[in-house]
Amino acid sequence: MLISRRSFLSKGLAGVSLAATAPHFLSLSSRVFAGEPPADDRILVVLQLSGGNDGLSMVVPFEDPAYGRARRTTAVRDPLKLADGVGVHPELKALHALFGDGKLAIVQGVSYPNPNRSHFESMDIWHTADVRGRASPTGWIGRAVDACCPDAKDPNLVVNIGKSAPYALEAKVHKPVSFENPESYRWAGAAGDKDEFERLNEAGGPNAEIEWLHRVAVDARASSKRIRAAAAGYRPKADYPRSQLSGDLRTVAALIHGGLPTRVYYVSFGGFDTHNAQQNRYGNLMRELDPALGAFYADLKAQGHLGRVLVVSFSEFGRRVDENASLGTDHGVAGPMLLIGESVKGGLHGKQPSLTDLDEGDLKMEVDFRSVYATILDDWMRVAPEKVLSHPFPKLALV
Amino acid sequence: MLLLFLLIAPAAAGAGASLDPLPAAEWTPEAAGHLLRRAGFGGSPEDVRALHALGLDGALDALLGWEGQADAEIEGPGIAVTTQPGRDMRMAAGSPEELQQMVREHRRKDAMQLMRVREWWVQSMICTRFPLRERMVLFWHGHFTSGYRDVRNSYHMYIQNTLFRRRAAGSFRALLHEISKDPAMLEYLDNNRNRKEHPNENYAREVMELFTLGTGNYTEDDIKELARGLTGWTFEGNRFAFHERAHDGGGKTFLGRRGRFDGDEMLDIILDQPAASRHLAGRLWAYFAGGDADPAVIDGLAKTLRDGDWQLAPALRQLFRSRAFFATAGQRIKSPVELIVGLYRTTGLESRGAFGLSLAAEALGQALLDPPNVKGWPGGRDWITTSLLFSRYNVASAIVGLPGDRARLLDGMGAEGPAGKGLRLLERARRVDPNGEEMEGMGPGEGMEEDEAPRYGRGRRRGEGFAPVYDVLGEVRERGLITPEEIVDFYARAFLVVPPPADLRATLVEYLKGLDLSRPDAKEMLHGLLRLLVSTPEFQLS
Repeated sequence: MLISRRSFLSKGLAGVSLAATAPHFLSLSSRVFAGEPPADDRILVVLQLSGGNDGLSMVVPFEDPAYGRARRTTAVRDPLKLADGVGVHPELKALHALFGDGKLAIVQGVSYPNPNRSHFESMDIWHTADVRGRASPTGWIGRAVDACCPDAKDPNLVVNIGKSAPYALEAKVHKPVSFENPESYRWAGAAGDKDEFERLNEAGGPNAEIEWLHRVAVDARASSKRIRAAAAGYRPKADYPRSQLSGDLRTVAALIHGGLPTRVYYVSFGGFDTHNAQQNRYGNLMRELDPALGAFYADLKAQGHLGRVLVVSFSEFGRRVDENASLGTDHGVAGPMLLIGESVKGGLHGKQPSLTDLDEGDLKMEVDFRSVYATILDDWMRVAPEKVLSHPFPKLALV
Repeated sequence: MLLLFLLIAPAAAGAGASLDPLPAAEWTPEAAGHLLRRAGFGGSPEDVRALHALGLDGALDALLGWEGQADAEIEGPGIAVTTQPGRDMRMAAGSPEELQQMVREHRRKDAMQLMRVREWWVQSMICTRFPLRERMVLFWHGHFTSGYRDVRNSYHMYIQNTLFRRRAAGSFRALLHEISKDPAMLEYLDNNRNRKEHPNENYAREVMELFTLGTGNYTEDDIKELARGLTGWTFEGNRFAFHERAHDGGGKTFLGRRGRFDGDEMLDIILDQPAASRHLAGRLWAYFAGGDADPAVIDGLAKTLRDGDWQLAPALRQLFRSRAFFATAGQRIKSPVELIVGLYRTTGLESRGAFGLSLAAEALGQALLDPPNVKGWPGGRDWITTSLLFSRYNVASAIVGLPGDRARLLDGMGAEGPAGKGLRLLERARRVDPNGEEMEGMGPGEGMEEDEAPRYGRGRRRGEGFAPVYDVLGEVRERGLITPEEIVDFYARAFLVVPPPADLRATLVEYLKGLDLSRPDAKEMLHGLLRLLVSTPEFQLS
C-alpha cells in the first residue's frame, strides 16, 4: 500500500521539504488513499489585528513632513527603512528582514467605500466581505471553504484559535473548530470515566437527529484527539517567545506539522484600539507581534512547510491621521495588510495614501480589501472569487 | 392529481402529523414531559407528574394562565435607566477629550449593565412560575430581533424584553405595532434615521421579509412605499416619538392598495395578507416543534391566528394539543439556553448567584440580547459543531458538578477556553463565601455593590450560599433510590428524552457497581454518572 503523506509526516520524516518537490502529487495520493479530499494542500493563516491598527505606526511615511506635523507626540522614530520615505516600526525587526528577502508583501491604503468607523460594523464588513455586514449569513472564509471543498468530510478543515469563532468563519457546510488552546478541546469529565464516555459517544441512534449527533460526537472525539496529539508532541524548530500570540502561532505550526487537512487557521491579536498613550502601547504590541511571526516563519521553514502557507493580516480600520489630545489616535479608515510566505511577491503594493488629501481627517482608500481577498482566493486557495465575493474586484500581483 | 392528493392526505394525518388533538389515552406522563420541555424548559419528575395529573387541557390552562397572575419570582433586574450619551454629557464635558472619556466610561458601565440584564433574564427563565411566557419572550427575541452591538443601550434592550413579556401570547397585531415603535428596534433597524428627505428602508424591508410575510410576498416598490409610511417614526429618550415634519404624508400604493396611508395603517395592511398568518405559524412551529411542518398544519394554525384576530394563545393551544406536535418528541436539538435552564429546572438546583450562566450560553453560541444578525438564531443543527458539542458537554458537566479535582481540570481547559469563561465564573461563584464578600473578578458584573446584586430564587436551599453544586447524594437518599439500576433509570428518565439502549444502560449500571451510599466516594460516583448522562448526544435533544 502506498503511504499517505500524512502518515509519512507523522513518522517523523518531515525534514525533507516535500512541499517544494512534489506537493501536488503527494496531496493527490493522500487524497486518494487517506480519503481526505482537500482540493489543494495550501494553507491560509489569517491574523486578525483587533481594535483598529494604526497603519501609520506600522508602515511609517517618516520623510513626509505632514507625518511629523500630525503626530507631534506619537510619530514613530527610527523606523527600519523599506524604501524611499517608508519604513516599518523599529520593533519589526523580523518583518524587516523578511521584507528584504522578498517574503513580505505590504498592501498599503486598504479599506472599502463609505467606511464605517464602528469596531463591530467595520469588522463585520471585513468578515463578510459585504458592505451590508451581517445581513450576509456567511463569512468570506466560510464561503471560500464551502466552495473549495464541497465533499470534504474532515471536521478540521477550518480551525480558529480563540474563545469563539469569528463571523468570517460562518459557513453553511464547513463549520470551524474553535478552541483557546488544544488542551481545552476535550471533555472535562473525570479521566477515569473516559471508557464510559466513549461508549456513550459512539455512532448510531434510533432517529435521524440522534444519529447525526452521534456522528458529530465521533468526529469531535477524533478531531480533539488528533489536535491534542499534534500539539502535545510538537517539537518546534524555532524559539517561540512567551506570549499569547506566539503560543497560538506555535499551535498552528504544530497542527500544520501534524498533517491536519486544515485549509484555514484563524488567529486573533487584540489591543490595537490605542486612543491614548499610543507610543508605548504600540511599541508593546509590535514587540509581541514581530518575534511571534518571526518564530512562526522560521519554524515553518525549518519544518519544510513554508511553501504551503500564506499568512495574511488585517484590521477593521486604520486610525485618524491627526493624533488626539490623549497622546493617542481615534478610529480612522485605510491601513496596511501584510502577506507573508515563500511565494508572495514581496515589496510594497498599492500606494501610501496622502497625509494631506484626507477624507474627514482620514486616509483615503487606495485598495479595496476585496481585491486582496480576490487575489488570495484565486491565486492561493484556487477558489473562484465569484463564489465568495458579490462582484468582481481587480486582483493584485501578490502571490 | 386530485386523486393523488386524496390518497396522501389521510395517510399523513394517520401518521400523527395533523392538528387533531391528542387522544386522551395518549396523554401519558411521557407526553406531559414532552409538553413541559417544549412549552417550558422541562422540570423535575414531580413537575411532570403534576402537569400530567391536570389532563392535557388543564395542563395548557396552567401553562398559559399567567394573565392577571403575579410572578413574584421575577423581580426587575434592578438596573438604572440610562439614556444615550448626548447633550447633557456634551454640556458637562470641558473638552472634546473629556467628552470622549465620559462616553467611553458610559459605554463600559452600560455594557456591565447589559450583563446584569442578561443574567436576570436567565434567572427569570429558571425561576418563573410561567415558563411558557419566558419561552415566548425568547421566541420574540429571536423573531423581532434586536442586538446590543447596534443598539448600545442596555435599558432599551431591557424595555424591549418587558414588551415581549407583556405581549407574550397576546395579540400579534398589538405587538407588531408596539415593536415598530420600540426604541431598541428603531435604533437596531435604523428607522430612527428614516426621514422624508432621506428614507431609510432597513426596517421596512425586514418587517416584511423576516417579521411578517417572508420573501416573495411583496415587491421592492412595496418596501419603498412602506419606508415612506414609516418616515418620522423615531424615539426621544426612552420613548417613541413621531416627527411630523420628517413624515411623508403623501399618497402611497402598498401591497395593491392605494391611499394616504400612515405607518400604522400600512402595518395593518401587511396583516391582511394571506402570507402573514402562514409566516408566523411556520415560525411558531419551527420554534416549538422543530423543522418544517405539514402544510396542512401550518394552514390550520394560520386560520386560527386569522380567525382570532391575531391572538396568539388559541394558536399555541392548538399547536400544543396536536398529535403532530407530540409526534416530534426527541427530534429537536435544544438551544444553549434550553440546555442550561432545562438542567437547572430538571434538578431543581438553586441558581441564585450563579453568575455566568448567560456567558456560558454565549460560549455555546447564544449571546442573549446580542444575536448574530437580524435573522436571530437559525437553531437546529446550526447549534452544533465538534467543538461546540464538547462545550455543551462541559457546561452541563459543570452544572451537575465537575470532579473533585475540577480546579486542575479547569486550569487545563485554559482560562478563556470555549466554555472556559462560563465555567470559571460558575466555579468562582461556588467558591464565593455566602456573605458575598468575594464578588471580585466576576466579569462584566464585576464591582457590583452587594445590596445592588440581583436577588433571585425560589426560596429553596437558601442560606447555602451562592450556586451550590447539585446535591445528588441528598436527592438519591430522599427518593429512596438504592440499587445502581434504580439510580440509573431515575436519572436517565429525568435527563434524556430517549431512553438509553440496553447496552448503554448496562454500561452505566456497571459504572455504579459497588456504590455504597454511606461511603465517602459515593458522592463523586453519583456526580460521575450525572456527568456521563449529560455528556451524550441524547442529552442534546428535546
